[in-house]
Amino acid sequence: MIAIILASRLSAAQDIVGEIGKLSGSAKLTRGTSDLEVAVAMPVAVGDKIRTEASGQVWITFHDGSKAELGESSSMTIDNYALSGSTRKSALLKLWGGHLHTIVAIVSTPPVFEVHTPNATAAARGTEFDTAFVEGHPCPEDHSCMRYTTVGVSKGIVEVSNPLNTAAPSVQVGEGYETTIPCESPATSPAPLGMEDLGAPGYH
Amino acid sequence: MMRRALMTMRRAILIAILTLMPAAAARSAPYSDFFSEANPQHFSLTMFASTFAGQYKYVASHEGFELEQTLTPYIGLVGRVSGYQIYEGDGWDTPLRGESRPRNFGVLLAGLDFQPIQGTSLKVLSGGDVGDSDRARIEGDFSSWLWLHSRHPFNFAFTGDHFYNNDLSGGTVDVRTILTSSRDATWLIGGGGQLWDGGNTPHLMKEFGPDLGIVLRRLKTNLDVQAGYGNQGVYGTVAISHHFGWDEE
Repeated sequence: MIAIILASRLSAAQDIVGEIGKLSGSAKLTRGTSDLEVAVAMPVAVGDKIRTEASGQVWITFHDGSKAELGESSSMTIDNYALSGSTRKSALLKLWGGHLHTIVAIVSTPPVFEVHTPNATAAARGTEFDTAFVEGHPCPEDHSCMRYTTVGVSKGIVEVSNPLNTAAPSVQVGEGYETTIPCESPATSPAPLGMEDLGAPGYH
Repeated sequence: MMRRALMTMRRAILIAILTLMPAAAARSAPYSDFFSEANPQHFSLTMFASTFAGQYKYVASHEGFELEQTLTPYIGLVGRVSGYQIYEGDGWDTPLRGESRPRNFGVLLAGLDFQPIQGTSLKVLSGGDVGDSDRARIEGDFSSWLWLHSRHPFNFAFTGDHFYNNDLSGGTVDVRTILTSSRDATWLIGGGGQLWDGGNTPHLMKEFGPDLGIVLRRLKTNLDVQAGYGNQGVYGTVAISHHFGWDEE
């Protein structure tokens, strides 16, 4: 309760764009120089950084109806979330590490919802997709690369590109497919969701 | 305890590989890290159970678990412990001669898993049986995913076994593709079957049929069913497996 009140006061002068809808385990929210324990119903604002612990998960509900689920041992910032009433004008979430599941409410003008990682940009509207940024683990597409992003799409279409390789074309990923972006390489052609599991040792 | 033994074995094999293959270790890309220690190491456990019923003379169930520990990015150490219950004889994967009473035996196998390219695995295993069968056996398991970045990637897999108890050789072959995939499940469809020869069999025996599989992604569980026809009439098989994996940071 104290965290919610403190967060409300801290965010009074900031753009509140949503709130914590659900929490599992523990997570921290950094706003300016303040570190707060995340609690259900706590408002979230542009500029907030949210970090989950090893067994923590946070569900954020934005005022336009979009939702973001931050997985275990993950961190993200709300870099931009422009609203006009409850209509989204633009949104940019930055995933620094771990896993982020986003359900994007449909709006009429494209594309107004983006998730960035250090080596990928995923742009969508009216869709549901997962983004994961992995560091310190070999990329299945290229064992020599130890930092990569995967974008998997459950509904709609997401356009994915690598901002570190502007010469490479973007890839459109459709429902039921995923792409991998290894280091500075372009996004791979889409593969069905779950290929990493099927190719893993022990499947057969 | 078992994990510690596996870790010790892993280190011993890695040292042996590095000692015996210094020239290969120094080779440049793309496999310059072929004999380097995997980073991070990965340990996996797969639990499985299956049952097989044939129209004539053969019903079997098989269950157990398999452990795999990475050695290098391309080589893993594998150990498998399983149990068989065979209610009739002369099937494709029995080291026993045909007898009507239920027979039980355990199988202990160990070996290496080579993964030279993404989605391709070759396991070479050897070991022995305990119980109603008590002789050695060898096994090879190959699986490869082709056209990974396509709408319908294609999997080709086969296994081959030789049972020294009755000198029978058996194998399975399977070709499948991904029908559809979502956040929750991946559906696979294809066909496959079994072949066996040696022992008491008069000639090469075979049976084939279509199969259907589902991978419950969040549950890390696979379910496969196959039914078909062959030298021993109609048959059906159901298999389920559950996978756990841990990175060793």
